[in-house]
Amino acid sequence: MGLFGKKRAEQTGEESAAIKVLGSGCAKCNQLEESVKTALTQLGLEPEVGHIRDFSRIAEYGVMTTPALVVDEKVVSSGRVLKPEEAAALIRKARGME
Amino acid sequence: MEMLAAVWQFFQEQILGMQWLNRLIGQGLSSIGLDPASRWGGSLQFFLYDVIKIVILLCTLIFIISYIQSYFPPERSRRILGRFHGIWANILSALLGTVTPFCSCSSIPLFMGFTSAGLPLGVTFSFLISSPMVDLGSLVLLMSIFGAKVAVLYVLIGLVIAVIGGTVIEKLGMEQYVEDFVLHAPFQEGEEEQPSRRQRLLYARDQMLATFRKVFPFILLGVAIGAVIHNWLPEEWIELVLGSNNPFGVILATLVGVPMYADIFGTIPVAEALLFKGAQLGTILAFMMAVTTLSLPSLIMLRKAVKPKLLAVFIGVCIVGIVLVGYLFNAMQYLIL
Repeated sequence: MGLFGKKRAEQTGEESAAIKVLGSGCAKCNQLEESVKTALTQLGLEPEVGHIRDFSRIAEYGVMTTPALVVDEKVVSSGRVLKPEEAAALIRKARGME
Repeated sequence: MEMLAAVWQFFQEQILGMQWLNRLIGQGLSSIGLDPASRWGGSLQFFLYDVIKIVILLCTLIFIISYIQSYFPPERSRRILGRFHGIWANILSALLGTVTPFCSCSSIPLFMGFTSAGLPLGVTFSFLISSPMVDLGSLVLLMSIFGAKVAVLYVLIGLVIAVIGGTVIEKLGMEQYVEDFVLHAPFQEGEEEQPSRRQRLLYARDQMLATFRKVFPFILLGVAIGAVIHNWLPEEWIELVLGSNNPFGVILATLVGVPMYADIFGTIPVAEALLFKGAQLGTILAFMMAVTTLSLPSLIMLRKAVKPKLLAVFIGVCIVGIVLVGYLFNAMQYLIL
């Protein structure tokens, strides 16, 4: 039970992140998380990335292929391991930073 | 017609089969004093020829296939499937399973996506069976090694298993054995991207590189096992276990293949060597289907979405289908090889 409680707390902490990776915990999903962190650092932002592993939550975003990237609650990519430059471009575009 | 047959034979043997490469490697080995007819020389020739051939085929195929796949994201397949009903939906689902990009780590989101759009369970399972079992890559790869007839039959029969398997699961009324969170997944229309040609080409290149990196160790391992079988295992052993003398060869090959996790590219060299050594065609194809369709990691993943009973039915349907295919091909071997 203790274990479950901890997991839940982690999950809520990650929910609040503006930039999230949706993934089932596969190798590709972790690669994407790394890329996005690098991208955020390059953009001069806090490298804070949430990681949602709960399938019901992933389905709520309408994503059918993982890993996916969500910026400000909008899915900007799915089914691909993005390179840091690609992730940075998508984040800039989603935030109108161009 | 003769002209056409000759062109096809050339394509089959030299372009897909790369016989020229085999000769070239043989000559190269001879020139450095290794006799390809000897055991060590022969093993080395098989190893080099198969690794190079499979890597070239793999890279070319994955690139072309990924480009085609970029036109069939699962969102699109789901939308197309929603318009069909009954057996047609199962058939189309099996067909789309061959062109929709799929990896077992995405099977649950895909399952939920299909279910939430109201697609029947059987249609989803037709997809889940055909997707790993049959793809465009296996078609061309099988063509290069066993010839066009075997390749086309393999694909057709794979599709038939997927359609029947899905239909059986549908008829058994297994909905109650799907985990609740999948059944009640909220429907969300995903946005469909329209990538440019450049993006599709980049995607195809990335897929090719990623697949190559992932599969290369399996190819080396598969070819190494193949080389051992090819040059060291006595023919009598293989004939005894996997040849026409053993009526249970197909069942044995299927059961050994199921828990194994390997790509079709890694399985092919083993299959090739076994066939050369007198194993029966159906037995080999059953082994390949078992390895690619069912594996422990994918079953563990699927178990999260369905209850044990449905998982058991899924495994049972696949195994029965594969075993039947094995016996069918063994019975027809003299007609198609």
